[in-house]
Amino acid sequence: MNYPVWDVPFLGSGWVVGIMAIIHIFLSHFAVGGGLFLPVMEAHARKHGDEAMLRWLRKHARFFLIVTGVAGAGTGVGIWVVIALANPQGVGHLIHGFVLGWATEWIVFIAEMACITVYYYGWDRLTPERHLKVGWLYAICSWLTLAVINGIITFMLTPGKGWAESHWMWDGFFNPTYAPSLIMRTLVMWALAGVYAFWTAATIEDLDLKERVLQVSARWVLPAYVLLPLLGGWYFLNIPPVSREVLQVGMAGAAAGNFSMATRVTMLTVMSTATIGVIVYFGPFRNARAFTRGMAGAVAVVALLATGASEWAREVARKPYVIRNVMYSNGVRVEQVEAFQREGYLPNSVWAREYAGLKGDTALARGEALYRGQCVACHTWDGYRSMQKFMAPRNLDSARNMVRMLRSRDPRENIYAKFMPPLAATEAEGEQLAAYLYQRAHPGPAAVARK
Amino acid sequence: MIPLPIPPADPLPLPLPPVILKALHLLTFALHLLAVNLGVGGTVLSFAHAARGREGDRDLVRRVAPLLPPAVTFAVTLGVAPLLFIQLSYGPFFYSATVLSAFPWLALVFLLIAGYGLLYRFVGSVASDRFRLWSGALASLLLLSIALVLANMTTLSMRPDLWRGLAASSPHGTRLNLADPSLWPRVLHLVTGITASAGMLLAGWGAWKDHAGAREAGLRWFIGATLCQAAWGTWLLLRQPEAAFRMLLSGHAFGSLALWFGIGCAALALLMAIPASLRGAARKAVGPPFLLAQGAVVGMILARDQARDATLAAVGFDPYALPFKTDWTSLAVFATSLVLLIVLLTTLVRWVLAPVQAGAEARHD
Repeated sequence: MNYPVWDVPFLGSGWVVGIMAIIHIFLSHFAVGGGLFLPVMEAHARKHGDEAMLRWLRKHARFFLIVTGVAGAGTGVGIWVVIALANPQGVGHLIHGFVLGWATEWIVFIAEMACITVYYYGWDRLTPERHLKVGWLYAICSWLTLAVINGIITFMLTPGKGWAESHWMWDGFFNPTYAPSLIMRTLVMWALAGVYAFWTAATIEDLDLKERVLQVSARWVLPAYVLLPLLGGWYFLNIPPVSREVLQVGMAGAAAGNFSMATRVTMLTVMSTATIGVIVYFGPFRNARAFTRGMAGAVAVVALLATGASEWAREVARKPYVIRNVMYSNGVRVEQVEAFQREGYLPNSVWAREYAGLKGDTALARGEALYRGQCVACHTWDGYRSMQKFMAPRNLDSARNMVRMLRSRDPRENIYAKFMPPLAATEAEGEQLAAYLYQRAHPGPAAVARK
Repeated sequence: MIPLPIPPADPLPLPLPPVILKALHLLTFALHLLAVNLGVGGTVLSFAHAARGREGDRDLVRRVAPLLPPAVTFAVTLGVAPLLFIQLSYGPFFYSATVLSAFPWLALVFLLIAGYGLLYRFVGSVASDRFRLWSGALASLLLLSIALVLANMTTLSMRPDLWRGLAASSPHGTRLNLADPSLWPRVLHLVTGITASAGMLLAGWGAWKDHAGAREAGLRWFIGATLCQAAWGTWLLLRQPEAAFRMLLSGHAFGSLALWFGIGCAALALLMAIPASLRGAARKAVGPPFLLAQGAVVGMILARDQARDATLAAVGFDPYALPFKTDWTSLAVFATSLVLLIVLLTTLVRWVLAPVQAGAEARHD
């Protein structure tokens, strides 16, 4: 723990990142999918001289501009803020490896913002040909933002073989899940473009126009339904075998009524996606005239659920790393574990020493510093993944045994090795951690008697 | 003496020489500030004129307000790059400061989204007779309060000697860096600087569009805010950490020269803005103070950067000493995308500025 730790009570910093990320992904995917939707629909409307559709499209463009510009860009900044709070080591490492990728993403993002600004504000000013060209340019730029960031996101799950030695950006960028992820996300973005269009189209008063717009928008959702299962399989084959195993164990367990978190999330993704399909078919596609804003809102909520669940599953697949085989989710680099287990975590961690010092540098204070440095990234004391709940039924010996087990990286010795980073600390530090956890879960003089 | 809790830098080398990263940082920060001055400062000015309620003021707001949301969009977008570069060059200080004051730092996101959303609401209302003044007031307040968030992070990142105390008093990162005496003068300096710059940009727009009301009002804003800056600026200078203070007043260090260049530009701009703001003054009279005001901003950006380096040098950190290994391929991709962006922006500006022709089907190609 070279940095201070952001301890978010009850929720945990991971969930703050998760909430911000899910909202941002839901909005940014719309920004990319909608980027194609606008010029395609405009070209269609202009080709058929459909002035009514053009008027609706202009309103939709305003909605698009505000949603993506205000909330999309705002949560984009939010992602930067929260990931650096939750895992400064991880973000610092990623930025060192990929800063020129991000800088390129930034260039494309400026182009994207310039295009959508001109597209909306230039509606009357530009000729129709130029206006449409700006729309196509926006579509290209917004997809390129995905193509760039996808390299960095997928790198975190599957860094590829060469990066660990070369640390060359492109060795990590074009990694095994880059292509399937890019295509899958593109399809999801098209689907979301349709879902968002339902929102503005649901209140069109001209029923003929409403039907035309809703039926066309519903078709944007379709490709995702046909192709996503195939692409999902391709993606699944390219994720690390350990991650596949985690998901497969969950699915096998479901048959016996044993639902792991991974299973629940996978099922939630499948069910919410299927629900969208049913609603879209019987709603905007078959009964467009009766489709209401409430229904559009419901589709959007279910789509948000599907987005959130699938992103969550991706995060779970990456456990116990923040960058697979490079850095654990608590910021400890893989190559540091051995040294920390031999020399100690506190002597090698600026802020662990600092936290221990703030509490008097006692054995319990050191245990607390270790808890803060290696556990708080994923656990809270009394909320999400509660340590209080976990420790309450244990005595001190049990706590010690558990901590001893966590030092091992061998799955045969450590049943948590596939999901949790190994405890990167000496045996003595492990004892201090066990004592701290036990003491905190069993406060008061009784704790001493019970041990 | 107990050593300060400064984390070590990331083990990976930088992909570019530190001096290039510094140049990119300063360049992108200057662009970000220009958009902030236009978007946030413009929001404050527009609200003030809308609240005054005279027909001339309202007419001015109607013409200027549509520029504000895109300006804020670009302020946000352009702000990402300096945020990226600062993490690269000053990571140990930046991350420590943000975590120790995490919730105020996180508030930035919500202030931005709420302020920006309200700005759209305000701008949407100015075409009608019923201005949504509350939206304008709240948008101004929320967007300006981001100055406090940023000043808090900046001051804290330069004062590792305050980290221990903050960590002890606020284990969840809920507090501001109130122990730093430069916090409030920095906030005031930022807020009035944004207002002064927005005033000058309004005057420049008025000169370009031959709008006498905008020209005069913009210059008056600039004069008033710059006079305040003299007070806040002096206060801020006196509250600088010792190493930065000594460097800024040395008279020979680059940061000191930049500071005096900025102050000189601002003073000259002020002197020239006064006659240019009088009724009947020539349109062209705005040009020299406009350029001088931009010079003042550049001088202050450089002085600010040098003050940070001087302060951190006192605790043993030198951003130029970080190891690097130039990644030429990635640099080429970045440079190519930059060239393409310039081509695209030039084309878009050319299209937007092309005269609007009667009939939507007029062909320009």
